[in-house]
Amino acid sequence: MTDIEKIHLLMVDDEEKFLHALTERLKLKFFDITPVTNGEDAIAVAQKAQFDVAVVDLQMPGIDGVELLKILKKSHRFLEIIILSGHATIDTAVDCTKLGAFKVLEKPCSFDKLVETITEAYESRMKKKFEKDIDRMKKIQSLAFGQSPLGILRELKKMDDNQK
Amino acid sequence: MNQHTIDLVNKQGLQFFGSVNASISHELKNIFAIISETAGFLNDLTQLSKQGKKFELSLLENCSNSIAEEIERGFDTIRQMNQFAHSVDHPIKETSIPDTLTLAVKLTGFLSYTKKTQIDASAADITVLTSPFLLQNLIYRTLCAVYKSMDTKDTLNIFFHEKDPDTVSLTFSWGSPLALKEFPDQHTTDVADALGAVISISDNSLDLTVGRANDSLSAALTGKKR
Repeated sequence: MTDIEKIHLLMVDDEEKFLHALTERLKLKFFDITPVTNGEDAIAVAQKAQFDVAVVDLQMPGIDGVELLKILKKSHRFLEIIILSGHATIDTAVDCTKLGAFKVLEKPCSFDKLVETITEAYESRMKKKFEKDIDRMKKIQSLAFGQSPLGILRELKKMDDNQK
Repeated sequence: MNQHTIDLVNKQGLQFFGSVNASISHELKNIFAIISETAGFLNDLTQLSKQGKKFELSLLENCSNSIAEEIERGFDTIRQMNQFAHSVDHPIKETSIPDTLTLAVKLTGFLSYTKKTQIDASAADITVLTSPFLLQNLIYRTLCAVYKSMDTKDTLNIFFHEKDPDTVSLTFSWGSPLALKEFPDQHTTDVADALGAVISISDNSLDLTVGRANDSLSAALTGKKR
């Protein structure tokens, strides 16, 4: 697998040993992983680099998993977020799904199940992006008719702003 | 203490018991998750070795150390769970203040918003004749309220002393002035009333004053009068 094909994964968990062991295992599966131990760092790295999927713990000091889910979904609309927590209940699973989580997994979770879920989340992201790109192409084509070059640029900027 | 108060405290006691057990089970899940992933990583390394691929031997040592540490953490957690479970064995008994404080600090340590805490180790043991479970409940709720309001970098210091022959004072103090959020709530007030405890709060500290003995609580919980 080349670097381009690697799934870029953001892992957020305050249990450092868990984070370390899981990161080492996922690296062997050719994932490109950025591990962080809190919500504040997760927001900071997500602003600098592009991630395909984030795996987020629920209970963390400072910004908790639910708050982080809201923030990341707001600023990175195509990022798929998997909640992986020992504190997951049916209620939190429903709440997180409503807030846009791809799936809620309970710790301890089988490694194969986690890898499968990350892969599904990546596929979901690519599908959404592809559909958005098709939609964008159609809009660009329709803009080309009856608009001045400056008008087309303005409309493109508006579209890009809406996609952030 | 009337029947209504006893019923109320019993119901809230059950909720408290449930919430502490939930936090313990979450802690155990975390421990099992670490052991599971570390054992899985060891297995991955074994497969790499079988394929003739080289890796740092220190990785193996780190994995086995990590598993050993997590097993010890698990034992500690089970010990605290056991100690907490036994706090309902006797409705009223001579209860050690430092032991109750230590257990409450350990149990709240499983919560994500816990803060660094120091209990005065120099004080001599003090006991009160009370309900160990309700006292644990009151201290736990106090710690939760203080932790939720405290700054992340702040440290909570806990002192206790015999205020007079009849009462014991527990002082929780922190560095930066803060206003406790919604404390004491009705639940805490009910438990404090049942224990005959008085809560007083200032910007930098909170005092719990507890009687050395509580005749009405003893009579209500055991049906016996002293």
